[in-house]
Amino acid sequence: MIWLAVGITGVACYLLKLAGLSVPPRVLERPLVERIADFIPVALLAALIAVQVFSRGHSLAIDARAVGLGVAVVLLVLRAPFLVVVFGAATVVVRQAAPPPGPPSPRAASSPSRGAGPGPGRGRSPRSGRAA
Amino acid sequence: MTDAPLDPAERSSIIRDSLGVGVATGAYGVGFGAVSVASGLSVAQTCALSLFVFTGASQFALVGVIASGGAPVSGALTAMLLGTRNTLYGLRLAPLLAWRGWRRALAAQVVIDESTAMSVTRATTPAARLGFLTTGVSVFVLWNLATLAGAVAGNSIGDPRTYGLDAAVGAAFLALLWPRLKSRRHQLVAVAAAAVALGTAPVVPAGVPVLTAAAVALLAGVLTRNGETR
Repeated sequence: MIWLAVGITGVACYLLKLAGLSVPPRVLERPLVERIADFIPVALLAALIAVQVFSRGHSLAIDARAVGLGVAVVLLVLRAPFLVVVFGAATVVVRQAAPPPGPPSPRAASSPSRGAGPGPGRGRSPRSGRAA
Repeated sequence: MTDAPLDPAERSSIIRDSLGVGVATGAYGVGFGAVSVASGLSVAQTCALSLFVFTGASQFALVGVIASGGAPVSGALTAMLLGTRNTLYGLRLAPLLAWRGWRRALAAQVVIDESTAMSVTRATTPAARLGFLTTGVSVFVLWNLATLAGAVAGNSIGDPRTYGLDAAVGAAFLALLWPRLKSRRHQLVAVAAAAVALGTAPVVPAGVPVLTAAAVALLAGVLTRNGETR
């Protein structure tokens, strides 16, 4: 199924690009079409964020992903580059969620720790791994 | 469109700017590769997306819908809707680039945000073609190499949730959305779309909430007919 979706998306996205270069502008260049096309990425990306961050299956949930999104907002306000935003959000969630088996970084203790952190893994003391 | 040849200074300035954009954008591919394998796609599927879909927001959308448990077909539809903006870019570029036949067919694959931005403002066809090709080809090559690197790295570090990569998907979408929130109207569309998606999430199959949010874009487009200034 995933391969099918990859194939459909690839063909469709190519044809959408080719159509723009090939179709006479009169067919599509209308104010209404342009406005909707301008809003579509905004609506879809906002919806994707909402679903990705605040839902799990069919229920709404606030967990470590919300903290990651908050970090992303801060990084974007600070004009951080794309990769810093993406991996910065991931890094903070790692520190909040499940400490990896290795010794945690010393900075983990001073990272912002919210009361509403995720359940599993939080019981461990940040120092417990350092003896290893 | 005039066909005046480029002077060497203009030529090198276009190439320099375009390569800069190409390198900066291509590097995002690492993020896409890592996020894609974290969402459950294989390395081969991830690389196929970058090669054949080659439009970042659509690629992130497809893997994002799959990551949230949606049907791959819903993801494909979302990706297509996001890909429609490339059609409008093509409309602007067609008279400027003035390619026909196989050149046009090849050029179509690199009609994306960045190659459009680096060519649509040029005054002549040679300048537009140079900016378009330098940006488009450098993004294409680097984006695909970076995707492979990110996918292989993401694949080798094990369970993505341990490493917070599922949170990275939301951050990636936000980073793509951020520069588009330029007016109050765009911000309202974003908030309304997020609300519609969350409101429908409990009652419709996964993947569909995002598609219902597209209705917000349609509605906003129709309702704002006469008020371009706000």
